[in-house]
Amino acid sequence: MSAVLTLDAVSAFYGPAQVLRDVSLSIESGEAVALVGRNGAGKSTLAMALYGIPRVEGSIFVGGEPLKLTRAYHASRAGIALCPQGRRILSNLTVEENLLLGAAHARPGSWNLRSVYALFPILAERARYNGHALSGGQQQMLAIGRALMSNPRVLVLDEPTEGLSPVAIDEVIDALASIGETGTALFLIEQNLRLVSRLASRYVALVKGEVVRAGAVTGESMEELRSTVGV
Amino acid sequence: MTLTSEDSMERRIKADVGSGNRRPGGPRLRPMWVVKVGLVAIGFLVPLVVTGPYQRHLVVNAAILGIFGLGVAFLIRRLGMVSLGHALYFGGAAYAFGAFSTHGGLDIVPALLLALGGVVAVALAVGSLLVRSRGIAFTMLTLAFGQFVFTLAGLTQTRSVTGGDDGLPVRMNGTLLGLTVRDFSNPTTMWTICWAVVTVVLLALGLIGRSRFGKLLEAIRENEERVRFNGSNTYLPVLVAYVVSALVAGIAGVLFALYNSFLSLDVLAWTTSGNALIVSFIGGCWTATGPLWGALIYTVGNAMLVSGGRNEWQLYVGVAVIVVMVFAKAGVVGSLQAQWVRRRERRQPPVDLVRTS
Amino acid sequence: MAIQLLNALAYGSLLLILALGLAMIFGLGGVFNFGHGALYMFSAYTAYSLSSAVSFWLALVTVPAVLALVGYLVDRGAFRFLRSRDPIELAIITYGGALVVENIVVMVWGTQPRALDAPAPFNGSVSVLGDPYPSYRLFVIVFSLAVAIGIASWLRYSKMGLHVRAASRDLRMTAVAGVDTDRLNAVVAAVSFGLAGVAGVLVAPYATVSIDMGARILVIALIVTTVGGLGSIGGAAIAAIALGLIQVTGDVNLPGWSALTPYVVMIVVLIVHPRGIAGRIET
Ligand SMILES: Nc1ncnc2c1ncn2[C@@H]1O[C@H](COP(=O)(O)OP(=O)(O)O)[C@@H](O)[C@H]1O
Ligand SMILES: [Mg+2]
Repeated sequence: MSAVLTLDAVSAFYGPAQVLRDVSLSIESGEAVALVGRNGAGKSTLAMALYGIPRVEGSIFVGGEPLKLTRAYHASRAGIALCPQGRRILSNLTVEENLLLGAAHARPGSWNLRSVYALFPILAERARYNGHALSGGQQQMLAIGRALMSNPRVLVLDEPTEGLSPVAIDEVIDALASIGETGTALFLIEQNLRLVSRLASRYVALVKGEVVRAGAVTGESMEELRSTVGV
Repeated sequence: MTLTSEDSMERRIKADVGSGNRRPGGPRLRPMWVVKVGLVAIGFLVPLVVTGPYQRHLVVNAAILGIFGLGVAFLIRRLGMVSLGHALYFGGAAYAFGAFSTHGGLDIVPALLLALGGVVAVALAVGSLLVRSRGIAFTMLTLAFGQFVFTLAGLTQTRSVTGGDDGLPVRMNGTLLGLTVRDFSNPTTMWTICWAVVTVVLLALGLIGRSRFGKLLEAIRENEERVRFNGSNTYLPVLVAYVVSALVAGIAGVLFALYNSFLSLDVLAWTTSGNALIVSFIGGCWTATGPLWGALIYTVGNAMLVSGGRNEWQLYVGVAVIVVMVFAKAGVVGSLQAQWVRRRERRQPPVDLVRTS
Repeated sequence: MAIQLLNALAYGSLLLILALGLAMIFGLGGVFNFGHGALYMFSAYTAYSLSSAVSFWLALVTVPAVLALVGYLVDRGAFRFLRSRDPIELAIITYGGALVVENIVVMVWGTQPRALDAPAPFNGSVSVLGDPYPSYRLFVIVFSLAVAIGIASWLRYSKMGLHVRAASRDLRMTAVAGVDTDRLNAVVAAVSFGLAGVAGVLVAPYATVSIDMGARILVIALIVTTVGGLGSIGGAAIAAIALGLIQVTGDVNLPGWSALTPYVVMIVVLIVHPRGIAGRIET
């Protein structure tokens, strides 16, 4: 197996404030890794660091190649796709246009409008609706579909189940599981440990911008996380 | 990074000046007010140095433009709001004063008071519509309101009041502090009046800035959401600040009318608002006196470069605006001050500089 | 009545072209380009000279193209490095740019107004419901509406148009999705400058060419943009034509006062929709 995404001593800053401190982690291809931590721990900042949005020190590799952080689009073209926190569906575009935006610079691969519609039939039904006319769960599917359209090597999901109903959460989890089976690596940012256990095989825990522990996802390790990290 | 974060610069400057009191063995800055009173006194003596009538005319023009700039810069400095419609108050006050004197036959004092009262009333009305918007939206709306009045003043229907394109010769009646029209058109006398007004305006704006009201404005500029969350109304303070800045512009407009005793529609055009903005930014909106220096640079530069009979003045102004905004957006005065602060920091480590981090 | 309607359409369609150019740059970066009116005026003067020396039609092709190139280069060479600045600071920089362009025009052409005859084959008039009507105005209407429809289709149906629309709503998400938003900005600047060029060339045989034409129409175009809703070309089109109509019919029935209508409309919209305008402007 080879690492598809590697962070080596990554620190991130918003202005003078340091949000991440020497974060190192690695995701193998086809693997599902969870990043857990409380609100404000720096999880979203880590996702944004892949795009060079905060100021970043340290290095990031995608498929062994150093990732350029000068411009946000490098990450997408290198094979990273992000479902951002809050989904950020473009409300002035239709569902289909939102998906097409994801294919701005698609790498070769099996994901296209047809395969995304096959995974989320509801999106095909609503293709001509405005993006914000969808329910929360449907919007999350749209955000995932949009990310898939670029045929990523690693799919980064920033709290994909935040604010969803239990039924919608189950649908999202099922979809993510089937995406994982196609060989796409998943980097799941979550606070809900039950979901982490259902999807991820390894976890990395972040406290105040630093990795405090990491390991395999097991019943005990999740129990321990609950008490030490407090998620 | 943004207009508002320029504040850190201001705070550093302020902190540095203020810390003079607390710095052991640093009496150099303590009697700051003595220096200030001295500067005010020296200001009245300017005609001793500037002896040519044309040069005196220039410094009077600079002072009037500078006061106008102080009004516009007040909104920028305290709230980060850039108005491009203050010609409405500058030109409006001038025209109101002119119309009350010429058509109404009022004496100078009541005409002046009515004109400034009118500015306050109009600023309240216009402001109540405008001040809910922020950022570029505010700027564009002020521009629209300013152009509304400019267009109105140029209509044939209002010609009997404004004189239209022919302009309005102002006929003044009575006296102000014993002075008559002849005195007002004398640059030496007018300089004394303008300098007194400059002093009062600087003092008033400074006091407002340091007051609790000023702190509230700054809090609104930094984070309006939080101020509202803490239960303070933000609409009224912004409106009051808008009226204050309009009033200062109006005072400059009345001085303009007194000095020139002739008005043309130009004083209402948006390019007039633009000039006030330009001198504020060139001098520096983030310092108390920046707009005055900007106005002096602008006026003297204009005289020097246009007198050659060449038509390149606007080019220089345009380039100056671009260069200042790109490379020294604190303005000439602001940048020099920052430089001075940095130099002193290097020479002696700061004791309690407020760092914004 | 038909004549008035056509006059309104001619004026409104020119306004629309100008407003579109303003709205595009504004929609993407929130920057109001004060230089837009100066570019328009510069194009009108250039069209005047090119028409006198060579041909109006050459001007209609080359002036917008050259301006588009300039817009692209200005964005790539200068504005790209200032993207993190407050939009108001950028607007003030464009204000300085407007002064520079205006002065260049004065240096080259002087301050005298110029008038240009309508080019063949549109130098005659046609009969509209029995009344003669200058055929050049009909050309202005058709050509500007064609340009506006072209821009609208580009935004609606092309991949880059999709990216422009996305970026005007959420620039960061668009960049995260893999779009080179810097290049997008440059293309939009090119289109916007080009539109100012089109409007400037078109207006030269239609109205007097003068130094203050840019500053005067800029505010009206700004009002069209705001009232019509930024990013909404349909809204801008309706606002432009409606303003044209109000102004043209007002000129006949309420001479003088009609010049105030754009401002009154803006103020009324502001009173009805105090947040609305601000909200739309910010997006
Ligand atoms: N754009 C930003 N500018 C400044 N500080 C930020 C910004 N985004 C996040 N932060 C700060 O970084 C820290 C981590 O935030 P975030 O990464 O969003 O945490 P999480 O996603 O784990 O909840 C917080 O203290 C937050 O205030
Ligand atoms: Mg987060």
